[in-house]
Amino acid sequence: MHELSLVSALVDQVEELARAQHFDRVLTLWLSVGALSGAEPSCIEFCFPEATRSSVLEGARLVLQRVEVELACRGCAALSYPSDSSALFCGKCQSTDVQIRRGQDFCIAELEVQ
Amino acid sequence: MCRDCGCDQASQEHAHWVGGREVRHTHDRGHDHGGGHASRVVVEPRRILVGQSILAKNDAIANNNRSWFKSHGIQVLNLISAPGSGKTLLLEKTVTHLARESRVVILTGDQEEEFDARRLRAVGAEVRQLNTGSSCHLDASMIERELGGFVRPVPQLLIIENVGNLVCPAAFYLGETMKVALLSSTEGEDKPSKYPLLFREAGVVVLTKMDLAPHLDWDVALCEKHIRRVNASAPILRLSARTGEGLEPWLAFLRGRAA
Repeated sequence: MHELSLVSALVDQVEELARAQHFDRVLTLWLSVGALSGAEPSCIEFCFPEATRSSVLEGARLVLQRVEVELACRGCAALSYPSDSSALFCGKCQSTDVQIRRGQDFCIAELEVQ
Repeated sequence: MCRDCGCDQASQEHAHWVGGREVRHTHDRGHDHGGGHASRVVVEPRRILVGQSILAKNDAIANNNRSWFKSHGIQVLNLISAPGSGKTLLLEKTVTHLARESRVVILTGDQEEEFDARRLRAVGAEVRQLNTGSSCHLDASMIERELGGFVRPVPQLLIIENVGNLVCPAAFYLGETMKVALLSSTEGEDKPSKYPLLFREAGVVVLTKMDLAPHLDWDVALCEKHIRRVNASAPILRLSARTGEGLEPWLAFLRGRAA
């Protein structure tokens, strides 16, 4: 459900790009999916064909690029790359006062268009 | 038609701008179009670097909402929780206590029905029900539509009761001043770790149905530990809207926002 509304927002955005940049069809779509974005890759793949029907994205090849979490500790300034995305603390000093530098975004990285 | 510039002067000499230089050519001599100029334009695939967030459109509307709220002195709380964790009952009690001293208005979101609006109206709340249909969350445009209409441009506290859902509402910024996460004692201590997006973004976390806690195998300290795993600083309030226990710190928090 959530991913379906994200993909619908994605379709609107690419349709707008198509008008602005004069293309009729998207051949390949590269999406960056942050580990903390709340978007599940398998759900995006599942609803993509249906949600893109009759749009410039219909039939496009979908490539999902997962973006891992990068944290910067506000205390000791160390960078951490936790494998468990719910364990958001500094790998060096264990502080939970961390800034999330990467891994939150769900965005269109690149398009191959015609 | 010329395939390079789209012009229809292919048989005559004409100009293209290439790298800032004017290049004159004629198509008849330059290259062969085979079959004449009525043939289809062949467009080579090209790549476009976008780097645009999928939620950019929602965020842009939300930022406009935020500016509107700010310019009219309106504080906005976005209440988010699972269905049935006690948002509406807490709001009923809140309105009952605050109606005389502060101007509080409520937008309440559900997929269907007006039950929540009716309950809140019954205790004197100024409330409008938003039905999202198939959508599992409110988005910024649904709030935008209410600005200047139901939400008047006067200083007040606006509480948005989002659709009951721990996942999606957290991803859609509405322009609120703060997100408030509710978690009831019947939901299990580990929910903040399992649904970290909401609890990470919340400015305050309210533990509800605390009157039930003694009857459950539910460990409040463990629950708060899970909240702290994802959120180092948000105040955690414990209350029971039913008994009124712990309601005062919540009201004090709202009075502070409404002031």
